[in-house]
Amino acid sequence: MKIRPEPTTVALRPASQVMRLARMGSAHQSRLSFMRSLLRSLKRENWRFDRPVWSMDSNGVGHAVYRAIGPRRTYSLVAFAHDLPDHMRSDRVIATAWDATFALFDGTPTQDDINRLSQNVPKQEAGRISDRELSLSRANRSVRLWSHVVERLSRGDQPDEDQIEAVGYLMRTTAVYGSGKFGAADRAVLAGRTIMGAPFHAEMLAVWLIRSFSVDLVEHMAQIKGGERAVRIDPALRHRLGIGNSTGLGMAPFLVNHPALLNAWMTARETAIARVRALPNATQEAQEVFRRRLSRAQENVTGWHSEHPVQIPKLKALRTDLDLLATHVESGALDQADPWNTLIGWSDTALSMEGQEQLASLILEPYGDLVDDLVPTMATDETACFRIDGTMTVATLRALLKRDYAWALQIDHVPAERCARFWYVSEEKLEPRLGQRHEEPGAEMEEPLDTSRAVCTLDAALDAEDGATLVADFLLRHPEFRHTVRRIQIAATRPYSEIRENLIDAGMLPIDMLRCKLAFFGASRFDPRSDRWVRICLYRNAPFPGDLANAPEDDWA
Amino acid sequence: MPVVTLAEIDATARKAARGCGCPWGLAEEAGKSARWLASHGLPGAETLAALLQGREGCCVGTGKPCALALGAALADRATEIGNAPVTTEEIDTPMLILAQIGRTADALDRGFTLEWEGGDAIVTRNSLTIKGHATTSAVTCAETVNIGGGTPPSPAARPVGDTEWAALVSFSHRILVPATETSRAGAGAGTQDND
Repeated sequence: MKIRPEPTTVALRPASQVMRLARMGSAHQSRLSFMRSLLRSLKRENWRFDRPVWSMDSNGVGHAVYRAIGPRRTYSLVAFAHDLPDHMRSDRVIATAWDATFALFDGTPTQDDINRLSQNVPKQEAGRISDRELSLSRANRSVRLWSHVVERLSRGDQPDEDQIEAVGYLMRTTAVYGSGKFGAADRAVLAGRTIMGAPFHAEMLAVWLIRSFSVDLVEHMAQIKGGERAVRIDPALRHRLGIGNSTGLGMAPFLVNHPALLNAWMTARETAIARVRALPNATQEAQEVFRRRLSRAQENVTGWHSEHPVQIPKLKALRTDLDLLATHVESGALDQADPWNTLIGWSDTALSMEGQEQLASLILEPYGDLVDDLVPTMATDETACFRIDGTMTVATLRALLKRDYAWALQIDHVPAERCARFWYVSEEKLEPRLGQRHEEPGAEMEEPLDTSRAVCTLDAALDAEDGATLVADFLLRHPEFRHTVRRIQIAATRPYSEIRENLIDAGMLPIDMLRCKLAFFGASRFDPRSDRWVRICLYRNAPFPGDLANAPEDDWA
Repeated sequence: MPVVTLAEIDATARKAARGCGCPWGLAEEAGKSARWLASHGLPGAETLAALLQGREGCCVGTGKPCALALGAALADRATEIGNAPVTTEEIDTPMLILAQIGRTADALDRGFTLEWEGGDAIVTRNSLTIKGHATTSAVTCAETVNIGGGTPPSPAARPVGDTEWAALVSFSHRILVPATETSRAGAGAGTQDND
């Protein structure tokens, strides 16, 4: 790997600015998002794709296999299509049946593998897969668009563009499990692999292939219905279909439970932004790429709708922001010296946070050569930083706490609304949930996501200690602080490891945590359905597997 | 015997230890230690289940730290072991000390030897050489040159003892909170999904 000197002229944006939920909740996809880095890698390595199995009956029930064949390995999506009554269709994690279920297989499955998976994958959490599988997932149809597309194609007509635009996908995934869950291969199985070693690339590959399956199945149903009259979907329309996803609270604790990984992702993005900001000028070519991607962002926000009271004003502001930005750029903003740094500085006061973060992602677009090499840094060995250094003195620990957690020490957690929530795992579905501390039972089972409050408690305990005491001795007497001490030692060299908010506050919005993570996946069109539940679109406008080789590289998002 | 992944051993052991009263930070060590042992073909889940069986609440405050607490304390000061070997008091489960020091060897890229009654081991980064059997014993830990050459860990899923796994799962369920109508309503979209 090339070692590139980091720019000295532009500092990374500080954690105090970046690690706030309002900003994380305004995150946008970028060149570094996992979907985009995955498709870049698949294209560069000339991966081939086929569908060796398609066994589907006239009700659309059956199974199919989609393969991604690379220079060293092959991965196969094994898809099962079911006949789901409408009354059972639910995106909630408590659902027990779905329109389609999937596993991503490590290699090419034999008939025995498919038989084994057919007994387990349709049951999802209630079944069991093996470490020959890398992910387990399921999807439901968008009933409205599905019926429309089947109807039109079966009559020999193309679906209505506006309807495709309004929904954006034929199916939405409602869970994509990986990393050793329900028997799937542990992360360590993938760690050394070139493409699948990157965070969430296995899950993103599964979702990309599910998108192909959703189109194949809708065409199959139209064919059954219309017979010879039926047509396939126009490739130009097909291209605009992404794959939906519906995500709830279950994903939120991830960013808190993986501080070193969160730091790696944020550091990569902030480093990329700083590198571009340090450029002394923007060539005409770079300006042209930026203008095209800005125009695409404007088009995207036009079709991005939400009925959620938090998102409605944010979308309105973003539309205005992008118009302002376009005008500013047309007036020659990129022709001056230090164009990107000046533009970011301008945005600090001229744009809303949605617009600021959209711009921060957009300025990376012309500079793949400068920033794409950061992708490998987004995987991190979490075991290496898990160890506590017990030979550190209490005085040093206290100093680190006061330096890195000053934000937490400013919070008074005593008022009821400052500790209104508690995070727990539900008995019903073994899923993370958020309870009302003062109204619901179970707070004694609280998960350690109350970081700011725990830091304040530790701070008080450390004040009672002799500064020369070793952390190991302190923790032997006070093991209840071990979790928080570990976080502080991790944060000491990883400035972006903590979300700098009170995560048990009455006003905390879990959708902000979801959005940050989903933007790193590459999601778009965030549509919150409540304060803890969001629908998104993935791979909208992305090439389909068969088109990847001839599509321009990474020019779709 | 159920076949489980390292991630499942880690998560279940962590929750089980917490369910048995270990503070979160020590419960996290329990999860990683069970995982480390299993990855080296040793009975990680089973060893932890044996430790947690029959105990009420955390060892801290009883005046007799358990193998988890002792192992953590030893590992926290592992960089000092090079100056002089350290011997623990007698403990039921030397395997948990081994796991903690093994993880330390991985993290610091150093080598350690451990000796207990009936066995000994050398751990270096991603490598373990072990002889003999585990029994109630004091454990002596010393630093050694990092020569490697032992058996590397395997990331594969593996079978675990039926009763021990069932015990861990049952302990882990102690930290689950029963659903209420409020919590169910709050977690979801609040809209139907036939759109």
